[in-house]
Amino acid sequence: MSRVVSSHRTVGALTALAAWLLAPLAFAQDAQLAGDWFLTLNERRAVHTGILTIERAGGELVAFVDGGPASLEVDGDTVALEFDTRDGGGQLLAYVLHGRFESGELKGELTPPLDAPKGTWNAVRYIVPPAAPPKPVDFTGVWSRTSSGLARVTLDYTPAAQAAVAGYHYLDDPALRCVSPGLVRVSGWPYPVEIVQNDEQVTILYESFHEARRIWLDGRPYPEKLPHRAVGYSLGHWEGSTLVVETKMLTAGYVDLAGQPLSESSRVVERMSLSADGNTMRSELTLYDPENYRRPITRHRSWRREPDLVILEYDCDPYPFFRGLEIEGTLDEYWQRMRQRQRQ
Amino acid sequence: MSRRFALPLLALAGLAVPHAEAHHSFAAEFSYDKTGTITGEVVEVLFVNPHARYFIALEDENGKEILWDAQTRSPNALFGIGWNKDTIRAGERITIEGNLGRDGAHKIWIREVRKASGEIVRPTGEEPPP
Repeated sequence: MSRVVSSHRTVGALTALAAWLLAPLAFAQDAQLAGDWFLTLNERRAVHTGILTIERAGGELVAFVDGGPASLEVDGDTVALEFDTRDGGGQLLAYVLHGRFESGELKGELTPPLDAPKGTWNAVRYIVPPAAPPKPVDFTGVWSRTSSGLARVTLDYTPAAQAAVAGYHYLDDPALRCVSPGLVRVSGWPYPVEIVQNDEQVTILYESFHEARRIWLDGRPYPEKLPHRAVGYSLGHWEGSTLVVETKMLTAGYVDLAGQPLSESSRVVERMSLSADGNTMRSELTLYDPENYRRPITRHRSWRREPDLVILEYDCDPYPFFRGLEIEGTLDEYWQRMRQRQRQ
Repeated sequence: MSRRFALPLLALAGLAVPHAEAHHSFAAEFSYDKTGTITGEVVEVLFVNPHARYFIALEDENGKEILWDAQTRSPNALFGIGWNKDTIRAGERITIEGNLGRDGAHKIWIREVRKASGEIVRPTGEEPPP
């Protein structure tokens, strides 16, 4: 009996010693994984990119993808990542990534949602581009969206945002009654955009909701007396060939389909660039909204040049929405909900 | 984008994947698993954003009218596959097969429409993933 106990003690002591000896190794590996990564998911039909952030918190490594929590397991040089996403109709789905850390990169096998064929993924260190003198490029043309990013659903909410999400009902979506759902959503909507530009102004004309954005390059400040609007007020400048657009003065709204709130004090930064052949446009959108989120939210979008495409009318009529509620017998409930929402 | 081409509707049969067809609220309003069929008269055609909608009058066993709310993709997405405001008209008697509304709501997300003539139309086509 005493031998067994003593042997357990010996094992315990050895384990502790081993842990103590190996701790620096684990720490060294943490240091290698910690930081921001540029994440690329290669599915058969599409390529989506995002930002993976790995941090040390309370002695453990934690991960975030595009500003939303992700589960991370590290065992030696193998890593497993899982995070939520949604389909076009708002159904909650998951990406599962298995891979290993090798020569400074992460890479492995991707299991996309909905029984889609397996793909591959990789992550390389995210590098903030160095300052560069302006070298404008021409975005003029019509573009169709090819990716709106990883469509994260769960974000790093403040308690206020958490409560707002819990109280959200799909009928709160302004898009259902033809009201623009705001910059973050409209800029990722699956309809084409047309861009016209000159030295002072880049204008983005969205088919969605007929939204028009004027991005001022003339060095003006934000106006003091204009009302906020769904797509805000945008100021831009060139960093090399990247158009950096900052937008403020947004109306309160939503970030996505699950009712993730967006406050009036939000700030959005978009970094827009063209591929070398000029036929792919990319935008990295970052939303800073500390009232609602404890870290910035990112969305990587890409578009393909469409020389023959024209922008159609966004012929939206709220009539069927309200008629539908009336048929369903929920119209009165809806009026009550509107009244409540305005008091929040 | 496929909207530049007016493809024959039947050529696209079988490509339907509901998750690629809506860009809001499908999951909140409709069941992914529960599908069904309704037959009735088209009483209102709303070929408008965000979703093209058809209100369909059915009759219960006592002959009382029950309205159903049938929805499908956006007009601009449908336009690309040759489905326009005249494809289904008020006054037609049609059969719709699709995803049923949640909690017994009288709603259906159109997967297929069978017209009185026997012609079948489907709101399918390629759309970039969300």
